[in-house]
Amino acid sequence: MSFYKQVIMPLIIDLNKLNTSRHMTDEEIAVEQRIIEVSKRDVQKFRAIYDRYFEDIFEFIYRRTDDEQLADDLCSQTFVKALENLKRYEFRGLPFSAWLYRIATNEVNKHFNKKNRNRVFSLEEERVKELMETDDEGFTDAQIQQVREILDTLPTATMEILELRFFEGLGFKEIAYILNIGESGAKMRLYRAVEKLRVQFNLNWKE
Amino acid sequence: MGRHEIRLRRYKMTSRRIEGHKNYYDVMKKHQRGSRVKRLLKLVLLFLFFALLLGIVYFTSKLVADEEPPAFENEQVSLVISGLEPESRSR
Repeated sequence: MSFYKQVIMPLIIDLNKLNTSRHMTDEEIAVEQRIIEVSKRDVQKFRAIYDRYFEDIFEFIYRRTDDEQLADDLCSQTFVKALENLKRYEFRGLPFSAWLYRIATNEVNKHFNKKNRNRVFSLEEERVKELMETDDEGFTDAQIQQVREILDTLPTATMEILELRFFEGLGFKEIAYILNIGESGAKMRLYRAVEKLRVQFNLNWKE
Repeated sequence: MGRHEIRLRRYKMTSRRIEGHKNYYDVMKKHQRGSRVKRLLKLVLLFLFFALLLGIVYFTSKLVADEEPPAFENEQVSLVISGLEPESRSR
């Protein structure tokens, strides 16, 4: 019991966190949609959307590049692309941010394909700690390193879902839309990854 | 999808620092430049299309004109019969 309490318990992922995500009410989405419709006729009105989502999109791109200047460029490119294609945007009952995340994901992928480099996930230790239940003593450096190693072994597609769910706090509908996959597929991949993480943590600690 | 690299950083980037990267003016400038280039490209394409159309019309009409049988013109035919010389010469 003490082994479980001291070693395994601290690293069990809090599954309750899966049910919480940044939520927008239908009314808020409708108001946002009205701004988008106005912006289609007058691009100056797009500023409200820019101000609202800049931080989220920048943070997302920074997490996926780990390069502040590059994140700046890609973020700016994301909003320029959004403005260019605004007239073609179709409302699907999701917050507008889902479309921005989709453009940002494409821009990041395009960059890495062009440079022929491995994808990067730059995660905040604080957030990783939040997602894991720790004992009173908190995380040791060795434990943090182990989390990093385990996340490294996951498929990139799964990491993308994990990142969007745990770090961006998005819902499955939005994740499915951003990654252009089915909602059930996204759920299945995430839960499988969580299970894998749990098993791996247990296995690693037994070693 | 290929491999990836996990990097862990101590702290989240602060809102103030992110705010420093905000530049709506630059986004609008890029957007306007992009729309100007797009409009110019559209114009060039439209011009090329009409030039091509004009060329096709010109060459087709030329081809049709070449294929038509030539119209007979009034030609002067002089017959020279041996033994008979024009009056002016005999004089």
